[in-house]
Amino acid sequence: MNQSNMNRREFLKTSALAGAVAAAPLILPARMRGQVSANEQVAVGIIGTGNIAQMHIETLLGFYDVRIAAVCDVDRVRRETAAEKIDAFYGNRDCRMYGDFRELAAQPDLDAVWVCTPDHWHALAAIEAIRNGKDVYVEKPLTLTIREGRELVNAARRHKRVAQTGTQQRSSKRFRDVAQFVRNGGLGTLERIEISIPANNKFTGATWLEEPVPEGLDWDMWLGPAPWRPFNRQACHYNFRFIRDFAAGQVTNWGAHYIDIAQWALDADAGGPVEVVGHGEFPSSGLFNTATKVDFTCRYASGVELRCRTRYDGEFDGNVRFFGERGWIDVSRTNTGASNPELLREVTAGGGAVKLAVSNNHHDNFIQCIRTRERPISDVEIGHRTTTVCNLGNIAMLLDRKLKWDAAREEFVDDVVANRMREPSMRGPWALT
Amino acid sequence: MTWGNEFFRAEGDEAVLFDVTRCMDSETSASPSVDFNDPQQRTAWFTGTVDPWEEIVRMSHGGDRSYATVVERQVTSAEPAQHAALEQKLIAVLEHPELTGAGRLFVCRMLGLIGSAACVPAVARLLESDRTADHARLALDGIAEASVNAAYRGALGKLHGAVKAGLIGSIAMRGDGEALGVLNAIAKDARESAVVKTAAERAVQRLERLAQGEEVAP
Repeated sequence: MNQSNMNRREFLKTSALAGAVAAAPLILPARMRGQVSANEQVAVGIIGTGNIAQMHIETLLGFYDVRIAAVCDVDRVRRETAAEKIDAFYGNRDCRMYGDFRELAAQPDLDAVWVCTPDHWHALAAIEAIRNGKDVYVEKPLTLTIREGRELVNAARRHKRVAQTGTQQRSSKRFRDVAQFVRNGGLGTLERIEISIPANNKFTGATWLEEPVPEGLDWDMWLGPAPWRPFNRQACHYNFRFIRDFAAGQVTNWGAHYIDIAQWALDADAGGPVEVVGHGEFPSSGLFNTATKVDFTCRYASGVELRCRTRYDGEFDGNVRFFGERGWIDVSRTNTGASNPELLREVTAGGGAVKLAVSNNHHDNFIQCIRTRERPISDVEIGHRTTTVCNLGNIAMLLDRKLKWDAAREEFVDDVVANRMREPSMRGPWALT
Repeated sequence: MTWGNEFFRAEGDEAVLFDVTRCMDSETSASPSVDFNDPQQRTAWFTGTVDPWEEIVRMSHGGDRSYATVVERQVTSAEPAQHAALEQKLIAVLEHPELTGAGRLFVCRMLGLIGSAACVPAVARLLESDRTADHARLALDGIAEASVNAAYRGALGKLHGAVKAGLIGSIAMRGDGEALGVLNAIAKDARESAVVKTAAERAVQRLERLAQGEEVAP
């Protein structure tokens, strides 16, 4: 073990987030154990330094050919904490800090940007980085709305940028094996798919009060394109997930991961379902307004139905179960199960003509694609299509009626209200232009 | 203006308008204003409920939004043929003199779902103020009518800073080629703020891509 490896290990051991990182698989590719010269390093900026960004930072610090050069956050305390962590690891004071993502995106020395903001900022921050010539890694869900997703894909293509979606289950052998097995007809004719996602049981009461904005937080910038509202701490860090101006609840928080695997297994990465119907439950008052009970079903042109619903067993993970002529197979982050042992043996054997692209490390896959200019394992179009399915489910639940979807045109058939729900209307000065 | 708290009570051959709110007090279980010996007031006290469409006038950030949820569900579950009537009710709320900012935001969101050319004159008035223009675009951005394009172009000279930049973004996202000239002028106008000039430059680029077929209009 060289000194650098020791430093990294010691750093992670003493980090406050070591436990969180340990919980997430940290598989470092062999090439990261060697030294690389500074000019071979990919210079990275991080936009948004909260919960999920901390995991990305800890992971990226393990890459010898990556250097985190800058961080941006509208919360001064968070960005300073992130910069201190990065500087402590590198043993210098070089990490630059920004409160405005546009300044970070304009830095000429950066090669790539990680977008780890709340969801309502994903598209704007990523497009700004792309416009400035950066490759982007965008946390899931790719965008808040369907239109934002298409605009982000268009921007990546127009500027020829590498764009990875943070749906890291595509870089897991467990999920790849199951998706490949299904794609190869391992279950015989695929009949249906059932996805479970954790419950959203967040509630802060029927009313809420405006609170003073904490020193160091630029609340107006945090709100960004969302309609202005007074500050309340429960509407900000982490819990933004449960307010529709900022996110789409557990449907995108967890559904984005598991629907993504279903889309992969269905070979629907450039398409989607033709119909969706949903019956969700949404809080009628209070701060949070995303679905507390999720239940929607998408029908694909093949006739396969994908049902996504809330689980109530307390398990804080999702799972996706494929049902076919030969039985069922189920995969989650911790387990692969099947209706009979033979199916499991076949999954592991990996037979069949269809061979899915292999990535065993989501970050490394992106870094390699920055060098090769190939499309990454969770290319932005794939992320957009998966996020679209999530949004279709939410829209169907909000409207509580069956909707027909034209995946090629990305529009609902004969439903004005549903189509308007695809579109963001952004508070000035923000726009997708 | 009435808000639905009235009902007609048959008195002989004549229908008499009776206002439930005269006999109600939402804060107490029994209002001292009710004369329980008066059959009319007694009936009203027993049967009257508040009207969600009136309550949304007084919406506040953080307040009970359950009335708004009722209205929202009426809007989202309506048949297309019912949209025009709901749109008129929303316009009436929008023009209520006591409408709060949170109420305006909600009504504009609802018009953003079912609004048509019919609401454009009422909503366009909100485009004339930096304070309300963002809300107006929530209602109008999704309405594919030439009258919206005209209203947006007309508002360019009335707004400032970030709000004006947002309006310019909407014009570009709608693909309004008729705005190309005025946006070009704004982009080159030294008197404009940086945020407005940047918005105009990007809008011009987008509209030019649309004109050249490099991008598809929504």
